[in-house]
Amino acid sequence: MAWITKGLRNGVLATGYPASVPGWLEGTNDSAGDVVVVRDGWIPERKFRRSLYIRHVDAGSDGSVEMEIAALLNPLYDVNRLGIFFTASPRHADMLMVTGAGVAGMIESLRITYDAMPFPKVVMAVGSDTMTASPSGTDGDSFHVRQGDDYSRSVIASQVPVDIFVPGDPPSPLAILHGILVAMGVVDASSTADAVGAPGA
Amino acid sequence: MKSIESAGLMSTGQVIHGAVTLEYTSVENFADEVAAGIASGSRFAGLLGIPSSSGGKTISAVMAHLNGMYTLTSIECARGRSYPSLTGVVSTADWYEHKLAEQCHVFATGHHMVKDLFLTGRNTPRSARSATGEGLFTIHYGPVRSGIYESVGYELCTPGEDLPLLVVHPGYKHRGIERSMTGRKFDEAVQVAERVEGVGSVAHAITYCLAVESVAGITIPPRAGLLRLVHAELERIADHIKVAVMLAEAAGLAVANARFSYELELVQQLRATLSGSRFSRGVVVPGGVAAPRCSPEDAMKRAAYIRQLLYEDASEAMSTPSFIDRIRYAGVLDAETAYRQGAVGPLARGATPGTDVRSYGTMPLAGAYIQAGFKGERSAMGGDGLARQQVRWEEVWDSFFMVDRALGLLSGTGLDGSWRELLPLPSGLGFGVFESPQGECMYLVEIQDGILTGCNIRPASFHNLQIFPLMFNGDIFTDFAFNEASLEISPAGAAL
Repeated sequence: MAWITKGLRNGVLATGYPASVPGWLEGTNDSAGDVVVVRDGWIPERKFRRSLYIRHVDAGSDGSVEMEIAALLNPLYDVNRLGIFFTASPRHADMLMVTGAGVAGMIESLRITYDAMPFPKVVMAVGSDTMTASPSGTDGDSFHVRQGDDYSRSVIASQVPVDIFVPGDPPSPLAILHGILVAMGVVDASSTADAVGAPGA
Repeated sequence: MKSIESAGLMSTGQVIHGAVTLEYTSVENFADEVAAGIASGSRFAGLLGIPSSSGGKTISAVMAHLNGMYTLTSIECARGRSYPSLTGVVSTADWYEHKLAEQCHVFATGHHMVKDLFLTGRNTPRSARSATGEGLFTIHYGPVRSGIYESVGYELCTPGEDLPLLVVHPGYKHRGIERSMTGRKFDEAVQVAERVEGVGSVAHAITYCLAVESVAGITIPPRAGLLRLVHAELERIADHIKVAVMLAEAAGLAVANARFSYELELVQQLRATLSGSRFSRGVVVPGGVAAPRCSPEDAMKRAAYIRQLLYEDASEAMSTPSFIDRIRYAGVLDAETAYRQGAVGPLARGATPGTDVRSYGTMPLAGAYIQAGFKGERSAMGGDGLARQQVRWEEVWDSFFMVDRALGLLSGTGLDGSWRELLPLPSGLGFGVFESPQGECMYLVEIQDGILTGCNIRPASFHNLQIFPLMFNGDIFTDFAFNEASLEISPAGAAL
């Protein structure tokens, strides 16, 4: 009972997206202001506009990306209000969300998961390490991956057809949410996380 | 510290540096010396391997003593040669010996090794152990699991309710992170160290830097030590709250889950304000730290606000029967087992004291912890999930206290001026140890003219995940989620 009254007393905590991008995201290495990178010729599936079910697969991340993805479910971001849900079964999933650089031990599981998903489906790779060929995500001298960078050596992209990359090491929850909304066709890929409207907020 | 190159041909002898002693022994006496160390009250903390000048490996059994000193009981082992297995002495030597065989090609005689454990890209691991009985069946759980989890594989052998056998397969997401560090400049490799375990970025960076700084023989500026403490303790707060989030989720307490995850988010935002990264990346560097990005006074106010919110919710959770009854008597790790297996972190301290590195006066950051008013190690007696959770909450309140004190001390110094010492190009063997939120974290690095030529990492997760199957003493299937959350490990650290 105490928890119920506590919940009622605290009310709604969710922020608008991203009408109130807090100062803590600006100038960070979390790539909050970066645009997502989309595959040439990719067009968002209109059926996902109001509802998107996501299956997550860790293909060798350091665990920080998972923490940021899980943060999307906290009351501040509360992605369920936008029709975004995580599902246990790939059979029910619209989006394959991949993290990690694509280590050898996870390639088979990644392929099986992708093959089990019905069409139409979208693949989103989250984190700078998904754009590299390095298990530690330290391809070259920089962790900053931006639009126009060469990501042709991405192991993940060589295994499953990645439609959207969300750079960042790890990307902030807001940057990941931005990528999801691009996948849903709610916002344009060329927009930055702090320049789009506030759908559902 | 004496370089491993010059020590490479040493068969017996002793090298002492700071809190670490290298004791070289003969291969024949290796297992006996480790057994004698455990019998005399020392803790087996790991088995590390570093390339030696002979082309093989220097294998070091790390023994932690109650006075905060470490001994590396070491032998020389040529590539392709064998050494006596320690699994008969301490079963947690198992994964270390697997790792040495798969990645370094030195083998332990008497080890039951049947398949690769970490190089799963080539082999699908199968259990070396088995359970028998009527109606038993095995559930393969992972590496891809329902929810947003890191990849790790479990084999759950059950007749339907209890779990007589649990086998862990940690290697699915093996990244070769130690190889990735080797060949890098010492000041660049800290970026990789931060990415060994995302949830322990600060602790890994500090541990790595302590190892490098021990080689260089420098002392960091006092205020840099205090800022390292602030970030390390904020990370501890965040990770311990994450455990509460997972436990509340497993218990089906939706509001508690939402409240703790909200407070976790506030901590991450505070870390981003202070450092520019939600995981405090780029802060800890060899020789010191990067300057804070906001005033310590602002950070103090926000930390105090978060503590107040968290304290109310934690108090509520710890008096909610549907929460504490699920973790009471669940996942019991008794004191004897914790000691014999060398458990570390809150997992060990839920049953027995003596593993909190922060309480060791020999630790290079001990001065900062004394300044910040560290109240000493927290421990409990029960060994169950509830005892571990009590330890974690106590650590969280201590961490808030120290963060407040340290920020208060920093507030008078201003943000200008030097926050780091410049290091000369280091050469030699360095050992670093620090208390991550998950437990004791160790680095053994070899550096030649500023380039890493060898790196051995022992995160707490690597050691503690081996102990996970020992926590199911009559526990049933539905306890799995609570026990796993209470274990508080990162599969990234276990797979390396």
